[in-house]
Amino acid sequence: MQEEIFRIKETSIAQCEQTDRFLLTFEQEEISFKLCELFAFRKKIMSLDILELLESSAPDIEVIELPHCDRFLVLSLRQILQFRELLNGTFDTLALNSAIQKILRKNVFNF
Amino acid sequence: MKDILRRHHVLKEEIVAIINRQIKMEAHSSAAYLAMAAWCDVRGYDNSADFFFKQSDEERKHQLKLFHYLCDMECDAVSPTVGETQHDFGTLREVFEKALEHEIAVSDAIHEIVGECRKYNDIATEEFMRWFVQEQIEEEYIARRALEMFDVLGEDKIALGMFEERILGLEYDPA
Repeated sequence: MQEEIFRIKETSIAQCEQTDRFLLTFEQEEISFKLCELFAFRKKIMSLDILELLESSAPDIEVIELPHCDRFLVLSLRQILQFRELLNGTFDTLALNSAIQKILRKNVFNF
Repeated sequence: MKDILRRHHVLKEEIVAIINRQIKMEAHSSAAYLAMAAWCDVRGYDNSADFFFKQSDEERKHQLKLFHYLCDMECDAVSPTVGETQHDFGTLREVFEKALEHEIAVSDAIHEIVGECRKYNDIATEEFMRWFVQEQIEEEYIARRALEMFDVLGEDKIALGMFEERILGLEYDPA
């Protein structure tokens, strides 16, 4: 079973309850991440220097390697900003879910 | 919704970052003690060299202890790069002065981690760090005692010989 966590237009991140993995849907393709891989992906996206991309005379695209699945993404500046929003939204939702589950766990021992 | 974040990522990112910083610091300390050991060894201070070789091993063990903790918690442990270390010293006393400076800096960093654990209510990591707090009490004590020996014995050739005889016997006894 998949639960969508966050979506921006056609790009979304969902979690798979059976495998504990996350599924990024981007341009009709699915890329699967373990949690630690999703953290690493976010770190890469967040560490891109947007100002440098804007000021550079080179095309405003970045190649993001995904070594866990032997693939890479070619992202435009607009897509990078969209990914930042998507990943921030995803991790905020995960943190919120964690906080809710923590409260619910208190009811596990119902005495 | 299943809480995958809690199941697979036990530590807060801020805690992971500060532990990775400590891993780097321990790696740097290990390299620094190795340089001190080399300086002592080539100048005939064999026991002081052994003391620093042992210290270097200890720091490496501390590094691995922290590294394994992050791995066990399914967090990203970063294998650190180690920068330049000081290889040149004026006197044997200066080497031990540097060693004490190092230990104080490590203690400060350990205490900072405990402070962060309290800030984020990370009781498990705080408990894990308790061993390091105790270890630093011992490390600082030994580094201070070594320097005090210079104060008592002096720094002429006979005194340095006596220092060499005593350095490996330094131990911390909390009782």
